[in-house]
Amino acid sequence: MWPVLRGVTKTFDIILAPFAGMHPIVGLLVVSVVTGVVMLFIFGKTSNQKMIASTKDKLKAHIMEMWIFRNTPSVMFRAMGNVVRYNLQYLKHSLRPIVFLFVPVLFIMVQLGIRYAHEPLIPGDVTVVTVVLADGVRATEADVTLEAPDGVRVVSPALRMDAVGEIEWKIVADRCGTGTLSVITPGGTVDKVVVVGENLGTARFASLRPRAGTWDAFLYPAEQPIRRDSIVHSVTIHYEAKQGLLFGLTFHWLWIFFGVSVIAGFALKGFFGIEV
Amino acid sequence: MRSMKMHRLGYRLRRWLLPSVLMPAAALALMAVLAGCTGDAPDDAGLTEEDRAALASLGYIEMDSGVREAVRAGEKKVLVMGIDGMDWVMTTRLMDEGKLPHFRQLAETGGFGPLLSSIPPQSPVAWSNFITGADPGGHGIFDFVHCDRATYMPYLSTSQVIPAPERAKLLGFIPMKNELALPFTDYVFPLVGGGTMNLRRGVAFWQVLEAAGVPCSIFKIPSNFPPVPSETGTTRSMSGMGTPDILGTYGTFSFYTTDPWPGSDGISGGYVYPVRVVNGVVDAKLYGPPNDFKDYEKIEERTGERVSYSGKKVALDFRVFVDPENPVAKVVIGDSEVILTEGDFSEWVEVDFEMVPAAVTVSGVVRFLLKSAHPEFELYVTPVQINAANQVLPITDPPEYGKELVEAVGHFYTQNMPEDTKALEHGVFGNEEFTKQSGIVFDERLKVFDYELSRFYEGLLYFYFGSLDQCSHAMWRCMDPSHPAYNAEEDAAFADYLEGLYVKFDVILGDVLSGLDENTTLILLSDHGFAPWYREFHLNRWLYDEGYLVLKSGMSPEQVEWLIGVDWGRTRAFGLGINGLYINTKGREADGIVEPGAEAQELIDEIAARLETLRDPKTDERMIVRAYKAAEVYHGPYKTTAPDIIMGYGWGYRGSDQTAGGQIPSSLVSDNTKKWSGDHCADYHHVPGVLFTNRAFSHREPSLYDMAPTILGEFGIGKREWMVGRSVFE
Repeated sequence: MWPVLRGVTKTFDIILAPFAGMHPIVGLLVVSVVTGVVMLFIFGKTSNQKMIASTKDKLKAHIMEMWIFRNTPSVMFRAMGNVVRYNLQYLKHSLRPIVFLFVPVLFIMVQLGIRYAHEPLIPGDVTVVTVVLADGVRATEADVTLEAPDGVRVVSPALRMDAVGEIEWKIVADRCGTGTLSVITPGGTVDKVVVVGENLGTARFASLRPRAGTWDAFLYPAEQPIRRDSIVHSVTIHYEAKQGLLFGLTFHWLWIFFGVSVIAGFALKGFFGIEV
Repeated sequence: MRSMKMHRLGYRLRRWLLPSVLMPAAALALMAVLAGCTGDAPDDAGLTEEDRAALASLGYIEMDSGVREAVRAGEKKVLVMGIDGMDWVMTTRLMDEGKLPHFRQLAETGGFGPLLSSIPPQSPVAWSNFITGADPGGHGIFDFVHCDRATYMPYLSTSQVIPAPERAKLLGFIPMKNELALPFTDYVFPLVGGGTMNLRRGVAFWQVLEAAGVPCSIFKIPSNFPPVPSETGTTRSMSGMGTPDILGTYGTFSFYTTDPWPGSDGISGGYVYPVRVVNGVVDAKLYGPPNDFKDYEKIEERTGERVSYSGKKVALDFRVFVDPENPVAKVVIGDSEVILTEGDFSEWVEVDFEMVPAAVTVSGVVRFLLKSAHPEFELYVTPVQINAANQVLPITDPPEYGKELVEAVGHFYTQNMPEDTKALEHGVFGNEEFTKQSGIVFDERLKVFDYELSRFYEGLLYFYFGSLDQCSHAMWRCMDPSHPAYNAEEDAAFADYLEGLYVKFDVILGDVLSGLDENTTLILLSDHGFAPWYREFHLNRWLYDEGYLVLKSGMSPEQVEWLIGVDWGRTRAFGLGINGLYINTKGREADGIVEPGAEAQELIDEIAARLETLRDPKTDERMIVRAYKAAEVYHGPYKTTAPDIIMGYGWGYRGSDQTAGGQIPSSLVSDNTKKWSGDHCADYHHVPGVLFTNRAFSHREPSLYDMAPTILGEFGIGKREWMVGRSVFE
């Protein structure tokens, strides 16, 4: 799975490369618009366009019927029933394209997530590194240490929590740059990229480095997953969520992505002659 | 079977439907209904009718010509820095030693001198003098603690919590009990809420400025809780001394320990909770305010058990993970996780106490200190502060001001006097922890000051610093080996701590001076100075020994607390508060026996004269240098509500805490061995504050009540009729 994920990630690196020096919102908007168009295209190719058009026409007709016969309850209630019926029918016709859309959209979201979900640390920031140990490994018995690269300091002793199978440290970012935290275990070292800097645009980094073979390995493809035989299950750096992407307002990137994609799709459906 | 099903249905309703659907809907409906509800709501803490009349009669339109224009043009600015407890003697000494170069510079290029405090020189009294330009007779604050003449019980003098009224009027005209029960639950909603009332009377100088069109920012001035509401929206203020924590107290810390000490369950100013570490985990609760949205009568009826006061408090579960060897732990509370290393305070953590599920939440902020991880687990939690960005009680006016400050500088201590002297007193803090915590308070205050300075373009900015006062109280002993509380082993390392604080203020002043323009008047002042507190005088013991205060038969003096046990039918005088002595006057006190007029006056004269001759059996020094008679030293409409005699204690003396709380200890005077080792509640001549201005002043003996007319004068506004002082520049 990792080679596929790495390939997709590299592809997105190339797609977003032109926006590297720009405000992060630019790349997000472009990807969202393109996604909207692609979704529209897939929707058009995978759905029964005739049936969707016919269902929508019937829906409109019954809504109008409700309005016209609003003083005749028996007609109005029948029309309401038909509205519900054709709504369900519309959903049925939408299911197939949604299934086709799901996989590509998921890939896109994962790729955007490792670029837009978090802010890198800035000098002076204090945060926590969490190492989750493999099942059955006791935190107090595992000989695990953390080493930080230049520009980052480990400022607390290890907090070993048997109750949850985790070890945590507090780190402080001193200087801008990208480095590697090393989680040193008797069976080898597990690295985790740590990013410190401001205005890094679409820099790719994830808060979590997961274990191979897990769902998280699909969701966090910024770094190669940890080998399955390691006593380390995952390493997390607690970055802050990205704030103020859109004109300084606090919006989660997913809202922007979906909003712009849907607006773009609806705006261009006439141009492509696709019934949605 | 059917009843079982109904029971289950009821359970589901309560468990899911109510919190998720009905409660928000009910809350919305209630809001709509409550908009039309009225009750005997408390005073809005703003102007009284008399105050309004006073303001109206002043004729602002007759103000000196050009004032409004000058103000609007931003030509005049006044910056007032209030440094509580800055002592004239110490400041002068440090200036002479060259340790305060910027204060020296300001003294040489502007004005500098001692500033007389109030009678008595207690902060709420003194700052009220400053705020109103009147003496206590004009603003009604005479002590930290006042006496309720109807019950002889003490109460805090600056503000009062008003409970929700018993009855209310639905939609403004349908009388009914002031609560609406939510069906199927234990929750009730009051139709009309309670409130808080600022007990300081009189008109604040910034209200006069506001009426004249001068924009004002007032940060943390004492005796201003809740903050005086702005009539025009041009004043922004944050309340200071008198502001409670979320429990409604003046600061109650929580301390979780595996090693509670004898008596730790009954300390003042904090709660000590015994905990256990199990498999590296501590489970505990952080307590919030009592949940007034619950119908306890109904709960007690159903369960058959009485709900205690602590049982009414809403609690937030939290968990602490403790490393078995390393000095580190993690607190998980609500959505927050904080890693703590021994000796370090956390950043502020928001905590939300859910009063009514999905409907009413009270928001606060706390910091954690892992005092020790091993061998004993000790975790200190600050008093839960009112969240300035989401205020459960009004601490800023307008409320948005609090949000703005939090956005600009982050969360900060909002309670009055946040330096945790109680934790120090009870050994929860050592000197190291106390100075660290005080340093946090100081740094936060400085951040806000920098922010306010950065947006100070016009009008008045008053900014209050309280660290010097609280640290002088708590750390005086460290620089005074002759103090009974001095412990060389613990205190010697902190001998220069207070001096260091003065130096910090010098650095701040340097920054201020470098940015001052020619249109700005700088006034830096303190409300009083400081003195050591070596010996504590037990006033009620003296009154008891001399037969002025008589106990009910069977009562011994040591049993008396809050004056309960006093035989009021035979008592002529009693002490309450730090400096107050009251004559048990007929027609004024509930069970008064002394006839007002000549008899009362004779008794006042007699007691005052005798007190002034008292000498300490140990040192032979006079313990009370002046016993001030309220009728002689106070002016204004509230002087009749004052204590009859105000004690002016000698250097090194102060009224005991037991006296303030209406107790009668076994001795007349005793050594003060508390950490609270410095004080200012002596005779006001012993503890002058400081006055620095950036231009020379001519007043030979300026006093705090001269400052309001001084500030008004800087904006071209004349002294108001209730003010007893005059501008120092005239």
